[in-house]
Amino acid sequence: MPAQTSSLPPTELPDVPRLALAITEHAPLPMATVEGATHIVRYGNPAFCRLMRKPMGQLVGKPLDELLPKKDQCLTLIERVFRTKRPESYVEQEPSQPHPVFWSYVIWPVLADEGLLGIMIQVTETAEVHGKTVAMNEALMLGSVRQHELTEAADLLNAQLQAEISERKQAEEALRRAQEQLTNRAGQLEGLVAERTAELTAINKQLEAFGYSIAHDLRAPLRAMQGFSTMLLEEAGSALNDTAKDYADRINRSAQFMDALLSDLLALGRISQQRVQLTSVNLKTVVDSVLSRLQDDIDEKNARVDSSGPWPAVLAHEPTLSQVLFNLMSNALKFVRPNVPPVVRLRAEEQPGFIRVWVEDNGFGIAPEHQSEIFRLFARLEGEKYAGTGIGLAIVQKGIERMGGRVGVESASGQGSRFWFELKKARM
Amino acid sequence: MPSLSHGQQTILLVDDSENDLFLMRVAFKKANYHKPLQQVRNGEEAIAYLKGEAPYFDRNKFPLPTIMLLDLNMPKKNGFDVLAWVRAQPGLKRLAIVILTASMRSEDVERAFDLGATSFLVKPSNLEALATMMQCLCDWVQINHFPPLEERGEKAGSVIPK
Repeated sequence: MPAQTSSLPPTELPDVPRLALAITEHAPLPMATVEGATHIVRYGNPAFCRLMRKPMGQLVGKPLDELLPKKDQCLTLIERVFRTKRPESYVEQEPSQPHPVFWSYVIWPVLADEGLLGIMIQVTETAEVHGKTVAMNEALMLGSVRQHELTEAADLLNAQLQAEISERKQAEEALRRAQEQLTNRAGQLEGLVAERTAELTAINKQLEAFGYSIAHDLRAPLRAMQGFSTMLLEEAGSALNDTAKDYADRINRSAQFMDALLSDLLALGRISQQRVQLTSVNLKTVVDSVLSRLQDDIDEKNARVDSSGPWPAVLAHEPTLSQVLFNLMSNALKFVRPNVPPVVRLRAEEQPGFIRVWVEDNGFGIAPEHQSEIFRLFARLEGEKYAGTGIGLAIVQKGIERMGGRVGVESASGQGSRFWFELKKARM
Repeated sequence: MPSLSHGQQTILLVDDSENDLFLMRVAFKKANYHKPLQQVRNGEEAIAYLKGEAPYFDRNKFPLPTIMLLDLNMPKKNGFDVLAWVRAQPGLKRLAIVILTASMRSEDVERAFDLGATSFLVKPSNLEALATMMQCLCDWVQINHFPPLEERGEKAGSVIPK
């Protein structure tokens, strides 16, 4: 320290070689100097003598390798210091039991102006601390070895996982592609269906427009024909002879007949096209409403109608069922034998799962060979004597068909007809 | 009758068919209805009549109707157009409008009532039935109470757009 150094007068400085020797002599650490190729010991301090358990006299002049218990590494290092003139240090273990001893060497060259004087060796016996360091080193080494193993195992697992992931990814990709194809196909089909539906809807719309134009445009001139022929008969009747009146009358009746035809065709179109939703329908209500609509006809023909029931409920579309029953009933009142008042019996017959409704008349009946034709459109068996359009039974058949039922007739010529239709029984 | 507030109870016929208009007049006559019948031939004329536009500006000659008989299928503005227009006019929206058409389509019936039709009648195919129908209509008009067309506090001239 500069402060202390400067506080002492230079003349009082001790003799340097003596001081150096004193330092070495009193050092608690074993120190020795060797010289020459065989490492002859030239000096050892008292600590060194104690370590070697020999007096100085037995140590000086002896080669170091004879004195040291383990020396390979030490001698190699002395050689190296000798050659490089650089200090070295190392530790070696003496495997004495039960506690190993560790020797720590510090070796350095003793240099003077004239060159290398010798090699100084300082040896320290270290036990615990160094042992721990080594143990720690070993543990670290083991750890690093173990770490290596763990890394390898982890690498292996990673590789396996990678393989699995890649397999799964392939499967997913395949699935995705399949789904994509499916979606595409579904899309195409949907498109196709939509296209067809649009076409059909357009055609339906055209048909509807056609039907509407029949209703509106064709009936307008008929109203005029009927109206003006009526006025001709009423207002100019006195000016007309019988032939002219007959002509006017024919125009009138033809117009009305054509109107009936158009009405029936429209009804058939409606029954064929409208949405039919089946619900529980009380037959009694339908029968009563049909009979009340035909009351004038019934009175006029002096007909007897039996509809006393019982009437169960059926699964039907009420407007359609009403139209069906109206047509059958009005046929029963229409196709009668001359001078025989109509007798009509309406009844329901319970069958397992369905109801059969009978409309039985006492009219002129239908010969068996004609029974299959009568439900055909425009089928007319009786010519102009009876004012039928030939559409009524086609409407009946179509209507029952739309409601998922069946229709038929039992008859013999001159025996009256027994028309029937079947509909599913409604759950009450 | 206090209910028939606009004068002499006019019926306005709106139909594009000359024949049907003629037969309607006959039917009204058969029904013993002898009050004024006005007629126009399409939706545009009907709107012009109700607005009082030329040639219908003279309300003495062309009074606002008590009821309007309106055909649906007509050239230039059909019956639905007229119906929608009338219901949007503050000074006319209370007008009783009876649809009288050849159409039996349920969509037309529904649409007409949705747009505010008062009644929906289908033209019968023979004159007798038409006369019976017009008789019923006249009876129905007789038993009805109709409100004034204008809402309280409004003046006809200011609410009917020119």
